[in-house]
Amino acid sequence: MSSRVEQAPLRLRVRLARDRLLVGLCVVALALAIIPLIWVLWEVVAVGTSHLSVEFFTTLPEPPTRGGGGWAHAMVGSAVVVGIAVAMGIPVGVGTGIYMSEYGNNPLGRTTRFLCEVMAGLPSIVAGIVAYGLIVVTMGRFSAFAGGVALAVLFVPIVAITTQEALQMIPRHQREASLALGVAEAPTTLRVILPAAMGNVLTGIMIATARVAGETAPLLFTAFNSRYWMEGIDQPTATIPVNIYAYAISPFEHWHAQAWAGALVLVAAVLLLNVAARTLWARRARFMAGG
Amino acid sequence: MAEKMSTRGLRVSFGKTEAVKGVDMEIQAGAVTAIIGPSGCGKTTYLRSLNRMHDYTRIAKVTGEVFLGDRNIYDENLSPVELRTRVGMVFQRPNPFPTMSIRDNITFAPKRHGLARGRELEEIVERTLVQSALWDEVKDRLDDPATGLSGGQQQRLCIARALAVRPEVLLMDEPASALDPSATQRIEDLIYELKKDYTIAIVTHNMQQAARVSDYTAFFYMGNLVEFGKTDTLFTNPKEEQTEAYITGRFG
Amino acid sequence: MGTAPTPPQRPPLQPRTGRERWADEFRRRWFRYATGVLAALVVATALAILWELWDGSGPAWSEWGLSFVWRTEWNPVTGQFGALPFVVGTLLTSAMALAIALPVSLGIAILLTEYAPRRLKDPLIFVVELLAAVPSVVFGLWGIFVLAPLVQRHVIPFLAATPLGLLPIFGEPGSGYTLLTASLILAIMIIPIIASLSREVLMAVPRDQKEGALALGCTRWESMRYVVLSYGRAGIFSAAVLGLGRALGETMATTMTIGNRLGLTFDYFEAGNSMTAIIANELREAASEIHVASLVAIGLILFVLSFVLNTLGRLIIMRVHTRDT
Repeated sequence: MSSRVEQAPLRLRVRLARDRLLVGLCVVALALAIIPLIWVLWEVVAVGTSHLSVEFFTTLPEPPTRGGGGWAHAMVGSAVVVGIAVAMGIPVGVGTGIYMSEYGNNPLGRTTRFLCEVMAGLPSIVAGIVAYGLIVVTMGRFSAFAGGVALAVLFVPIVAITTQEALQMIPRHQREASLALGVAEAPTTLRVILPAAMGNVLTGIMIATARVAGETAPLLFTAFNSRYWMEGIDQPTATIPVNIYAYAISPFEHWHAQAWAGALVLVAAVLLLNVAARTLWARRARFMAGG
Repeated sequence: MAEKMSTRGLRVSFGKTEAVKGVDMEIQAGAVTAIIGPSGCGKTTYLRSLNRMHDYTRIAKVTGEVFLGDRNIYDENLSPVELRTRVGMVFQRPNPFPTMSIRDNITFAPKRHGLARGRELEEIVERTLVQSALWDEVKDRLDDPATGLSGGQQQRLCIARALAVRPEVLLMDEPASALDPSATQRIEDLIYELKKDYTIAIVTHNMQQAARVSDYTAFFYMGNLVEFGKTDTLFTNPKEEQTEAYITGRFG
Repeated sequence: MGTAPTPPQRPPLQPRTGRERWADEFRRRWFRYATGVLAALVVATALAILWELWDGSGPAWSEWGLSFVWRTEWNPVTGQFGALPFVVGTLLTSAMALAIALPVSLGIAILLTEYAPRRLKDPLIFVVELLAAVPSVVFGLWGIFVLAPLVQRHVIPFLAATPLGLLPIFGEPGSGYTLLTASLILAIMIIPIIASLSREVLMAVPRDQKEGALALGCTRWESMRYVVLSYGRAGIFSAAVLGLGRALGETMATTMTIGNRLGLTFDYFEAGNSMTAIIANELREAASEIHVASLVAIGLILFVLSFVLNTLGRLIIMRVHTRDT
């Protein structure tokens, strides 16, 4: 600060102007993030709805020259592939989270925690490469199962970490209340600790589900694609994200339009899951604070 | 007058720090024994070793002997589960199971241990709530969440929950320190009632409370049992200088 | 004391037989072992990832050794492969994305911690996080049909007309599928993570430090500049590192906008390629063993890069946390 008081007014004006400039720049920054979001959502909704029809949900694709046709097979495929990932991922993810939180003060626990952090940052395509090498090459064909495994690899660390964090928020004296009654570890965790943390665990599961439901890269060479109804989880299958990609880079206008419609379905599902997860969490937080 | 529990050369250490440094002490049956001392003197650590709560702290190491009757509870041939049904514990902060109703809080442990079914469970609920002087306040809302109760009621529910597995001894770790004065008063009244049927050991930082509720008092300092005696004797005529310094408020 | 009522007597504790003891211990602890097995499964998965990347890329390493990383040729017909063009493409796009996203994210973080009214704060945080929830392939779709034409018709001509156009990183304008387009999409996609991590950093600055500066007559800008940013420098650096790690591994949006041109380029106005894009484009059709191995080898390089960045970022965060407590 200047010791020459007579200069202060001018300097102060400069400083205050700079302060306002900072606010202005920050608002611009926020706009730079929000504008693309709104733009993307707007395009998806505007272009997507104009090509959405009942047929899109109920029929199989037609050859591009014919027009019409739908993505019913891809919707079923996405549900199955994500279902496989979630079915395998919930027990492993929640169980790992429980281990890390409750019994993880040992080398296995520390290693697992570190690896979960690493795997949460794993480029999703790497999960695809691994499932390709271990499952597709071994089985000799692309399959919904391989896609599910690739997604599970991405799903588990997110769920494990959120479960661990949720359980750690439950105070230690809750565990002791049960243990001091001579109750074993399993019922203590499953009936006392886990129910108390359930809101946050579910939020983690839903956010992880939304994340893997939108993944494309790991499915490109695992679940692959198909123009027909899925014939089994050991067969290649279409999924919404891969179809969006395939249709978007195709040369057919009609397919581009369908890619937007598919994007609308995908975005709606993913955002719905996210919003539901967050409101669930918020409700829970209010309930806890009020109770 | 017989002793219900006793410790011989009990030491508890956490890693390199020893929190209890070889304590020999008796807890008399059908009486209240207060354990007092400044923070960090090992009183809570001592209490928790009486129902093997340190089993769940990885770095904790307990040596020496703790007898319940004539059995050393750290003997590996004895079941820690059965021990904990005989030696119950009430904690500093009321900790009812937050997702359970009042009723489920009480029946949770008896169900797990297979102690009772159906009507017997209902009887346990009523008996323990009556014993903990909570019955009249909650009998019409047994299925409400336990977290809806006031702090004092929650603590009495925790006492009822501990009584549900028919313990012989109740360990209380500063059970009233998180409560307001009137709730504290009710807990103290309750302790007075309960000692007719149970042996009670209570850790407290409040000397007036120790003087009011206990028959015997143990003064701990730096992990050692400095003095043990009848409460009125210890407070009016302490033998050790450290005891006198503490109860007259010169340190701690 | 003779009148003291007798407490309820239970029969004395009975010793267990060895078998009962074993059963007791099992009942008490089986859950720990069961969840431990699941945790071990996660460790096994991580090992499987490493093994598969290493084993699958073996032929490429034994053919060219480490020089695979800086070889520039990529020709499935002659069986000559090298990673450099893809590594360069990934680094260029990620670096540009970070250069754009970091100041924007910091601005958002500052706005949300220091200036935003309480009522607006949570909704704004929610909106920024929503950006992270939009699937990559949807950004790619938008990139193809909205951003790429925009870049071709407006952004590149504009940049080329300004003095910036003289920079050696910008060459002759061409199509809309360029390194620049991919960089812009990546920037949008990594804003949420950098913003939310920096917000945590800014919130962790002790209130008394900020208020101390304000009480000295500092404006918010000054308190931000001298106190908050210097206090949170390490944390913001780690946010940038983690954002970079995210950008490296991003696949679909990059693949759909980068142009997928083979060959080394340093020109942001030109079509290029990235590590993720080449894998996405070629792995399922790769016929020869050496082609597959080369793609997996690029996957391994990608994994190592993202592992190093993520670990570095986490380590810094951990250091900051331990310093604070």
